[in-house]
Amino acid sequence: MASALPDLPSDLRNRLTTGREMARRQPASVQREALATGLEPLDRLLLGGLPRGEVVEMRGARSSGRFSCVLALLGTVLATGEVAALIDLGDQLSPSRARRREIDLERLLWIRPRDLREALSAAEILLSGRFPLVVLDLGIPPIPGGRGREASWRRLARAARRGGGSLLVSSPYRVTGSNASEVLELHRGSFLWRGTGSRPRLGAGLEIRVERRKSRREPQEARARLRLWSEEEAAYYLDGSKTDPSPELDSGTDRRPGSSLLGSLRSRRDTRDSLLPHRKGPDSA
Amino acid sequence: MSGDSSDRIACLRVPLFPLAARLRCEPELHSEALVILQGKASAARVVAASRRARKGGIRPGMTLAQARALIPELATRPRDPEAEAALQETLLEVGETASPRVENADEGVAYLDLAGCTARFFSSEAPEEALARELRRSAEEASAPTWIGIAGSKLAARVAATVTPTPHVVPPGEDAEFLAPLPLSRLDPEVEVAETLRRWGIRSIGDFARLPPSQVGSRLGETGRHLHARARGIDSRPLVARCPPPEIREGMTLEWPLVSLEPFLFTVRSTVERLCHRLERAGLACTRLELTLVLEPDGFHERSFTLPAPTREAEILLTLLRLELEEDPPGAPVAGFRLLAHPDRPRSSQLTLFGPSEIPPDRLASTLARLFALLGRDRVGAPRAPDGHRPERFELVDYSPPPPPEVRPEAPGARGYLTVRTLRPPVALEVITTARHGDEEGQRPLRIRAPAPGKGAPRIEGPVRVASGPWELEEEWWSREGAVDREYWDVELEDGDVYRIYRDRRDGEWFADGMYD
Repeated sequence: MASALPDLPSDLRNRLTTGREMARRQPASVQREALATGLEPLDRLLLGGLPRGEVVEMRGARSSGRFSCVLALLGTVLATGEVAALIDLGDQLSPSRARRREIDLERLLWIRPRDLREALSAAEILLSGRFPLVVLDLGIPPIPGGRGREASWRRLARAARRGGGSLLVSSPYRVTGSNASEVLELHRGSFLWRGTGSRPRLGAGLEIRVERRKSRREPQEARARLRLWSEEEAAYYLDGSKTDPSPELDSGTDRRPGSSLLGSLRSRRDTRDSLLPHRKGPDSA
Repeated sequence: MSGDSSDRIACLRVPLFPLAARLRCEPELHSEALVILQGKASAARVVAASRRARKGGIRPGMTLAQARALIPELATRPRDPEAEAALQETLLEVGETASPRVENADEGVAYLDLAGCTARFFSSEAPEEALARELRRSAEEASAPTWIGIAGSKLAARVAATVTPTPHVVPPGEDAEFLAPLPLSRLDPEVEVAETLRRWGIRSIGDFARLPPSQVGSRLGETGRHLHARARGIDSRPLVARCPPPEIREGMTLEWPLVSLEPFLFTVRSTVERLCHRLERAGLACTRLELTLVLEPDGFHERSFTLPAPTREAEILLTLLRLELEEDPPGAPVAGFRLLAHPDRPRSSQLTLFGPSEIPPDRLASTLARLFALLGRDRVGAPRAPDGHRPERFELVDYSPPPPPEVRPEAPGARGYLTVRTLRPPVALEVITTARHGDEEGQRPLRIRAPAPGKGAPRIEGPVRVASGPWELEEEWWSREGAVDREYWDVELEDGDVYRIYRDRRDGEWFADGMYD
């Protein structure tokens, strides 16, 4: 660059640079901006979000809120105009539920592999195809195809690094070995119900504990708490602005007053129940 | 084109055209003793022979038996109309890279109007030679060995394209001088006229050109007059520019019918690569590909597929071909094939300073094609929520994301929402409820168990700690097959798992179709 502009004063000439040189001089943190999950505790543990070009593993047993975190991440990333791919090994995405989360389904590529081998191959293709975010959700046990070979995960890590995309592996148990740069563990806390005793209850949410078990950027383990709210709880007790109930189960064909979701909610709103984790007791059923 | 010194015509000629067309499809035969035959059985005659075959004494017009007597290990191929048509089209496309006016003349011959086309070689001392060299290089890249002549008329240019070294450029106004020493046969005179001129003792074009025009006209008639004008470098035939066809075609006839997919794909690979090369040279990409298979003993098998985005990557097209043929095999041996590419302008993604970057359309198309090949079309796409409330329902549509915003929006801070994994298909359950016999309406589940979890189905079992419900779902009551009448419960088991289960009120069976996660 400098030699191409010999007539400029030397001080100006020295300050000019090419785009390639500029990109090389940029620190890695600037070049690889993280993908925020939108969930503050998770972003804090991930030091800002999913690092680009890396594999992040999120482990969690059943009902640990793992799938909810996956959808939150997808919703946030898609809302920023990026595209993303969900490799749904368990075939467990419900587009109607995702739409109610306001997830931009047009930008989401949904892959439904039959087994882990296909899922890993699809992930490698997507990372090579420069998808900025690939989520590989292995569903709930039993996973068809087992844990996959160490070499396969290593290939995926290499493909992510080369393509610059983030790969989030959501799994019921550890599968990626040493290939993930960050490992989070989700532990189920309490499932929250609105209503106590023998009165009708409504699922209000789930408390989970998130632990950072491994990070190449921050060696110290860390943990955080996260509350996930049900649609109905968010609509009626958190927002306050939304008046219509979720239509999911309210098909408009209720024949018994009070038996629909709408009826239950109306009857319950006046009870002013507090959100209580369920305590095992004589009236628990 | 009347021989005006300002007119400049280039002639592109592929020598031994049937042989060149075959070698373009089967380049491994280049070093073989090969002849191209026309006609069937004993009537077959050699129309072109490779260098090695010619060295062995084989000449056009020989029968196959005569040729085999000279070279027993002779390789033979019939003329291939598909391959010849593709080569002819390629030759014209090479010409169109230099001139907008190209005439499709005989087999393996094209004329170019060079008026104004040499301006970009202004820095060269011999712009026409530079243009001709570039044309020859382009033709060789397209596997079309071409001889090139440039002169003031079509006749002189064509003759110049037959002399060595090639390319040969006749200086402006010197067509007659160029033609003069050449034998009269180069003018392709009619047999009677040629015989008359031979009796007159005229051997070269120059000898003929020196005869008085009026005398030639009175003795040889109109035919002789035209021939005399051509001998003097005057060619009255105008250059008739062609309209380029809207599609690009490639194909070949196979030496023997193929029954397996892999050998066929191996054969079709080079054809697809040539097709992509032609698209690239024209600055176009393929948006729709049509495949026609010629079946043995008769019949055709036609397939057409539209690409997610215009592309000229051979690997993508080959992957799609493989996928299509695996899905729908032709069911008979394949004796030949033809590919027809419908071109479109390639789409490119606009780089942005402030917004998220877009995956280039051709890369996205390639990625999708590979995914289709891996999983099938029914397992890749954009999800769409159909009307209705049944959670297990979904639709997959073609993935075509909208362009990214010019400025990246702020990532919204998301409240954590609890969601439900859909169990697809629902898991059958045995449920103990609080109901008395025959009165199950609205009774709470006490214990659930999946009696025989299928392969890959989750194990669900345990006493219910909390049951919330029932919520009713009734859909399509008017339909016999699609009617749904369910009574939903959210249940938390003792081990902490939370499921969404339902009782089918039509038959009383219980299922789990979701898990809170």
